Amino acid sequence: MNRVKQLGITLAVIISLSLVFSQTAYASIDVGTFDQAAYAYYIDPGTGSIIIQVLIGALVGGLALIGVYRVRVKNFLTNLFTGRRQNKESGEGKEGEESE
Amino acid sequence: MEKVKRGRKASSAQLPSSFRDPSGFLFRQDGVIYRQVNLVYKDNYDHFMDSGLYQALVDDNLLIPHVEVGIESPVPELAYRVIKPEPIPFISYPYEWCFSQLRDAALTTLKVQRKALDFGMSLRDSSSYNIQFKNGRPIFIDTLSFGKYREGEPWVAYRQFCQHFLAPLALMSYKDIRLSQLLGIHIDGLPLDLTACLLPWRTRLRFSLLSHIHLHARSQRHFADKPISVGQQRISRYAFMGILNSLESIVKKLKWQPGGTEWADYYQDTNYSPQAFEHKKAIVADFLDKIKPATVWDLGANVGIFSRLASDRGIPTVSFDVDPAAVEKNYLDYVARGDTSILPLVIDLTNPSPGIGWENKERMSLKERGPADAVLALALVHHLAISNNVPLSRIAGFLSDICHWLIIEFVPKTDSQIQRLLATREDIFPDYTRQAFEQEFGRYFTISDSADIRESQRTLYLMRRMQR
Repeated sequence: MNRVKQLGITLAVIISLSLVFSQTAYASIDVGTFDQAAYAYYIDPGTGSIIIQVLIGALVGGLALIGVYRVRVKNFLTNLFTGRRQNKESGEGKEGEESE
Repeated sequence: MEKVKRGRKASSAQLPSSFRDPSGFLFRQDGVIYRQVNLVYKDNYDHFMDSGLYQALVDDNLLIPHVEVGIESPVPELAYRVIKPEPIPFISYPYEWCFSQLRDAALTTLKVQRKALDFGMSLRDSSSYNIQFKNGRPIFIDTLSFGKYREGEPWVAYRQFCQHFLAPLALMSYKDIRLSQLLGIHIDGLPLDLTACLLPWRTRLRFSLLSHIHLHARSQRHFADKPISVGQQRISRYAFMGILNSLESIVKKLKWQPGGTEWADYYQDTNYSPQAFEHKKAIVADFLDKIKPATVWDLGANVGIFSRLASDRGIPTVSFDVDPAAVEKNYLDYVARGDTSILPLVIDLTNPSPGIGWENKERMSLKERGPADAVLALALVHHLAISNNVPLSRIAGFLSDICHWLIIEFVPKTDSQIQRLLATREDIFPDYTRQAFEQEFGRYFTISDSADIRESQRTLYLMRRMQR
């Protein structure tokens, strides 16, 4: 499991690195047409800081989301499996009750 | 604009540290510090108070409590409310904190941000100057830092967090503990490009440092001259929480220990016998009981053993030392003990913190934060006089500026500690004698009491500053 995690992290780092270092990725981010008035903050958030935050956020948020879905899928499958068995057992019980 | 100008002129009591945020400012009236909340911040302030965020933060000891007061505002045309925050006994700055203090301040900031998000708000800034130490623990003091959070909006204070907390912590942890002093030069946190080039290459192998410092610095450089509005950049809540988790995780993982030594044996370097040490403690305790000071500054406190004599008596005590390792140990020890009266700080007395920032007034010098009611100067004078060549008259003059009472130890030249200081240099101090010491200090202080320390050649004096 740890190996898969490490591989995932390495891949993620490589993707983020290539994004940050590639000029095309920057060119695709249109920094000139933003709505200035809607966010009147008194400190300068820094263009570069916001861009990198969005990239890191996508990466770590994505990983967190995968984690959450991994748990959900696992729970779903577990429930499906044990649920069926339980249904089966309770169904058998019911039948027994009915037969009494 | 004109209105603001006129207003600013009238606010003569406005504190020089409080001018950046148009949402309000601090001012002093009759010796009490108040904060004006401006009309432009009305919506945010109301949400902050009414949503329950304020109470939740205060309940968790994360935010300084305040009361709304009805006093007249110095700039009434801008005012929405005037609040009176609980006073902070001693204002300290990030360049005076040890590693763990800065780390705890960073974690407090992140806790505050998480709590704010729970109530639909987000920190608009994350300056390390928004944290102070009260009752021994870090607390957030800027009540006006909270803005309404709009789903999808990035954290505007992310840059500031990295510069004010993560960058200095990484440098202190990976490079050299003394690099914390860069915070005194760069008042808005350490430039990330500087941090990136000072950090060892191996920090690039740690994802959090690679992204939050190295790639962040590169991104800042790339977008240096390009405008942006935060509004067009979207970041999901998951991503936002991911950033906070990542920052918290790396801050918690950063560690520092001096030179690979064990804390337990770091400070055994004294030439006292156990009896002499106990006697010295008894004399200092006796002097403290005689004068019952309201506040104590312990100069050259080492790991704070004598500061504890004051703090155990409930006296708010600031414990200064030049050695970041000693201050670190002092801090960790008092946190473990749950002491609430002591504040250890890294200060070089031969070059104490100056006034810095705009007009040299934004952050106060050490002297401006005094005077203390009593100063402890134990095993200190010989370091100032012999290691730093300060004449006794000037040591006496400086100490008389920062205290009313002085508990001071005189160490004669025959003492082994002084012999060690003189071992590598010529003795150019013929005037360093007990007689000269009493004469020079007698120009500023009245000697109220004195006692020789058993099994040593040292003497403790209790002195009272003369009326000026």
